[in-house]
Amino acid sequence: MSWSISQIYNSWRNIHFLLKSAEIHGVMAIIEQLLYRTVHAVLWLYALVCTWLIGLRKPIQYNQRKRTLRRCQEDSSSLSKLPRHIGLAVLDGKISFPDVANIVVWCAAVGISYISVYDNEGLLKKNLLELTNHISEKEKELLGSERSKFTVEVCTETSESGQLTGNERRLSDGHNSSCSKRSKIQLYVIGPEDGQSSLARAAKQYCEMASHWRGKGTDEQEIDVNEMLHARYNFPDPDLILKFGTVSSLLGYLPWQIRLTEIISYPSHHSIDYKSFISLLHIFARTEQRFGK
Amino acid sequence: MLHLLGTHTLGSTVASWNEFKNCCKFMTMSIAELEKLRASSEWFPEKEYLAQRTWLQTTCARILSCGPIPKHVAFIMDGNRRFARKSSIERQEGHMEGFKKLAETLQWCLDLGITEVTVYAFSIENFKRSKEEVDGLMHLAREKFERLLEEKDEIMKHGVCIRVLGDLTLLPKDLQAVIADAMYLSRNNTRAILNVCMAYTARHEITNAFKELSWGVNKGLIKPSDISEEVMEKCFYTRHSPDPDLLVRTSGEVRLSDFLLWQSSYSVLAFVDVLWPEYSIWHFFSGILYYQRNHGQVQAAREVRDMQRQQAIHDSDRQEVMKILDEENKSPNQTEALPQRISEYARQREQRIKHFVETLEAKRTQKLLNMLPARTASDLTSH
Repeated sequence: MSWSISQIYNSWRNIHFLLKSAEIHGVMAIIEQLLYRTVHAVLWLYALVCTWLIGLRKPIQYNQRKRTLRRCQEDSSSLSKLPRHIGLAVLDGKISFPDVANIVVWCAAVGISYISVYDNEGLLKKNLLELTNHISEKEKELLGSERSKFTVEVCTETSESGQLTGNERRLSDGHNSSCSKRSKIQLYVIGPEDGQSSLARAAKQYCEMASHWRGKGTDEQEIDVNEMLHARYNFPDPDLILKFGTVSSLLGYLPWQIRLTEIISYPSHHSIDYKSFISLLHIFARTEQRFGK
Repeated sequence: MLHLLGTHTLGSTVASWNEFKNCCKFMTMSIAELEKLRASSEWFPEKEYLAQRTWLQTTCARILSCGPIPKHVAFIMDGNRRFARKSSIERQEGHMEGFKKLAETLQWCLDLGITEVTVYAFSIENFKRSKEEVDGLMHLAREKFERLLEEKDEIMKHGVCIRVLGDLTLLPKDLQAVIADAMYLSRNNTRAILNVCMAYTARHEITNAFKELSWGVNKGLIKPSDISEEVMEKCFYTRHSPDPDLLVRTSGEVRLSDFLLWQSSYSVLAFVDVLWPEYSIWHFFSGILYYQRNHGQVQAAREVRDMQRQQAIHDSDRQEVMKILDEENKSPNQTEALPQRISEYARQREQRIKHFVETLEAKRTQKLLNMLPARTASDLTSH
C-alpha cells in the first residue's frame, strides 16, 4: 500500500516536473479550457434533454369525453377574459395541419372572433387549401349537428385597392341568409412577409402618397401607420400569442401589432389536447395589464 | 553633555521630522485612497464588482464562454416600483436601486464579452404617470448623466459609447443638454456600447422612420422603390446597432411593451420572474445559457430572412428595370443585356441609399450639436 502511494507520489512528481519544464501555464490553461468545455457540453446536453422531455411529455389523448360546442362554451364562460384576437405562432419545424386545424376550431368554439396563424417559413400560407380542408373537417367533427353556429372566414392580406388578394373562402356551406345569425370568425393566415416586409411596403406606399400630395400642392397629412396597416390587415392587435415550439423567439411575427400582446409558450402543437389548450387560456385570463402606469 | 544633548535633540528632531513626514505621507496617501474609494465609479463599479466576484462566478463565466455569447443584449428593467412597495421604501429609492442594478449588470456583460447593451429606461407611455414620479425620474436621469460626465475618465478608460435612443425633444431642455454632452463626448468609443432608451416606443420609432424616408424621397435622395427593410433600419434610432441577440424582461410580464418590436423579431426572448432590483448574476447566467440553447434555431431563421430580403430587393430591381424598358419602348427580349441593366440599376440604387444615409446622419449630428449646452458648444467652435 505504502509502496503504491510512494510510486504514485513519484510519478506525480515526475508529471509535475514535466509540466514545469513544458511551460506549466500553457498546459494548465489547456487543461482548464478542456474542463470548461466539458462542463459546458454537459450543460448543453442537459438543456437539450430537458427540451426533448418537455416535447415528449404529453401522452396522446383521444376518445376522451366528447367535445361538443356546448362544452367549449361552458369552458369559455369560466374564463374571466378572452382574447379578442389570438395569434397562433407555429414555430416547431414540421407543421401538422390537423393539429393546427384543431386549435383554430377550438379558438372559434370558445368564442374568439379573430384568429391569426403564423409560421416563419410561410408554409401555412402556401398550403392554404390543405389547411382550410382540415379546418372544415375538424369543424364538422366538433359541431356535429350544430353546424351552423359559426363560420370561419379565411383571409390574407388585403392589397392596396382593398381587394382580398388571397382566396376568401367560406368554410361552412350554409346559405347567406343564415349568415347574419351566425357569429363570423375571421382567420388570418400570415407568414414572414406580413411582418417587417409589410412595414417596408407600407413605408413605400406612404412615400408615394406623400409625393403625390406634394405634387397636388395639398398639405402633407399626419402619418398614421396604425391606420395604414389596419387597411391591410383588418384585425385588432392580438391580445395573446400562443407560441408553439421550443425556440424562444417570435421569428418574425408581425412586429407592429404585438406592442401589448401577451406571449405564452407551449412546447409543441403536435397532438396538443383540448385540456392543455384551455389551460393556456386560463393563464392568459389571470394576467393583468398596467400599460406603463 | 551639551554635545550629547545637542545630538540627542538633533536626533529626536530628525526622528520626529521623519515621523512627521511619514505621518504626512500616510495622511496624503489615505486621503488619496479615501478619495479613490469615495469616487469609485457609479456607472462602472468595477472595483466593487471585482472585489465581490466569487470563484464560482468566474468559473461559470468561463464555462459559458465556451458557447456562443450574444453580442447585443437588451433589458426591459421592469419592477422597480413593485420592489419599492414590497420592501416598503420610497418609489424614488426603488428607481435608484434599479440604476444600481443596471451598473452591476453592465459589469457582468463587460466581463462576459457582451459588447452592446440596450436598456429601456423610460417609455413615452411613462409620461402618463403622476407628475411627481415623472419629475423624480427626470431628476434621477439628470443626476446620473451629470455623474457620468464627471466620470469622463472612466468612460474613456473603458472605451464606452453612450447613446440615448428616443425622441429627445420630449425630454426637459436641461436633460437634453446633459444627454447630448454625454453622447457627444463618447461618440467615438467602440469597445462597449450602452444604449439607453428614453422617451422611446417602438411604434414612435417606426413612425419616425416613415417620416425620414418621406423626407428623403421629397429631397430626391431616394425613390420610393428603393425602400427596403435595410433602408428602414437605417432610419431607426438603433441604426448603429445590430439586432439584439437576447432580450431579457424582468418582473414576470410576458410582453414587449413597445420596446424594440422590429429589432427583436428574431431575438431570443427571456422572461424572468424576478423584479429588476432583485435580478442577480445567476439569473443573468441562466439567461445566457438559455440564449445558447436557442442560438442555432434563431440563427437559421435569421439566415432565411436575410435571403428572402435579398431576393425581394433583387425582384424589385428587376421590376424597376422592366418599367424603365417599358418607358423606352423596348421589350425585354430586345435588350440582350438585361442582367447587366439590373446590376447597373442595383449599383445606382446602392449609391442613392448610401448618399441618403449619409445625409440623414449629418442631419442627426447637427440636431445633436444644437442640443449641446452652450459651454461645450463654445469649446467646439474654439477648437
